[in-house]
Amino acid sequence: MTQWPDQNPQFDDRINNPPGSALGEFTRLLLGLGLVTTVAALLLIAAAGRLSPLIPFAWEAQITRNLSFNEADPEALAALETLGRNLAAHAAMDEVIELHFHLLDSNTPNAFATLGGHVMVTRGLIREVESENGLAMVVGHEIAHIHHRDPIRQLGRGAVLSLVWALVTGGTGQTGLEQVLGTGGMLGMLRYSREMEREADALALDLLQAHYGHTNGADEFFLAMQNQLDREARVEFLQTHPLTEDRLTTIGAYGEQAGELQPLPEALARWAEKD
Amino acid sequence: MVMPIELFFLLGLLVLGYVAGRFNEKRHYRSIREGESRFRDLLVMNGRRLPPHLLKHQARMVSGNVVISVDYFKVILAALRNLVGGRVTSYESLIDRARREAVLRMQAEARELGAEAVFNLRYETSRISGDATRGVGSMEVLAYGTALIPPQ
Repeated sequence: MTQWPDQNPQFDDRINNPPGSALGEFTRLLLGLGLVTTVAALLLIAAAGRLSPLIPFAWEAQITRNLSFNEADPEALAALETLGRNLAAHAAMDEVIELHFHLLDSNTPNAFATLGGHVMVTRGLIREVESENGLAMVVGHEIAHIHHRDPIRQLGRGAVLSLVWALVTGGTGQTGLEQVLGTGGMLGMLRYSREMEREADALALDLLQAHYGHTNGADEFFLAMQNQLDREARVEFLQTHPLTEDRLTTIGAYGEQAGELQPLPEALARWAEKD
Repeated sequence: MVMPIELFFLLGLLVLGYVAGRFNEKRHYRSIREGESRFRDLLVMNGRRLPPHLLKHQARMVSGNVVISVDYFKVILAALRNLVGGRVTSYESLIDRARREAVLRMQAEARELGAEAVFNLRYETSRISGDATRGVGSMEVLAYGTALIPPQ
């Protein structure tokens, strides 16, 4: 015979809802997953940096095929090209790599190297340097980035990073990739790692040594930027080119500094001073 | 690429979810315990066989249902848990509260009818909002049974 109770039992709350620190669980999960994701992302980025240079240069050129430049002054451009090609001739570059030189009509002193072998130099930069040697250091540095395939390596790393970020945040991988492969990734926005910058400087100094027989004037532009009076322009430059001090040290340590400076090609100087 | 504004939103929602969710959960548990002691004597059984002294009682169906929403903090916590597996503790309290609240509402209905007990208790549960990709939004629990009302 069943015994019928006359009231409902009082259960312990902790049976079906065990006590525990939600915040603690959250922190543990977040840190653990964060660690795993970070390690995985670093491995992937390293792999991308290694594998990206294997992408044929033609593909790179294909991406930047539609870039259009407002080519300012044919004579000035020809002078820059001559300088660039003379320097590049000492670099033993892969013959499939094509260099394209451009003058940008911007007063911000800067120079970039980007996908497809495009090297851009601004009007502001040419105003800052006093000799061809100073300009050659900067152009040589950008040529070195292209020789080392830094733009595509950086693009590969960025793409992987975006992909990981998109996966972690649950977004579609497409938007992240679009961001990197969009115009932002093409023009000057690529930031190279410190190691890449160091290697580019080293090669640029080699090019200067081979071309002029000395490295005098290599520090011209960096010194000018350090003494730049326009604070905004200085900040902008130092943000995209950190470690200016270190670079000056590298240049100073390279070796024989004495040597005759070449004047800037006349066409370039004229273009830079024109309003 | 990492938009700080998005992170601020995420962090803000997490803090809001945690603080408000905790506050609401505590308050809900307090009211559940009060309700359970109020209805302690309104017997709820899930068996179908009636004891002899209730055999002459009138039978009426009574039901109670409740919808409880999950907070943002719990959603994220559950999403993290989904990656590695294990007990989703953040949803356990949700289920516990919904089930007990539904029984309380059913008991309230039964008391209005003057019932002495509710037999043949059954539960149903369903997801009200959210889908398989976005996780649980809010959940419904329905409790129903047969109220036994003493003859006039």
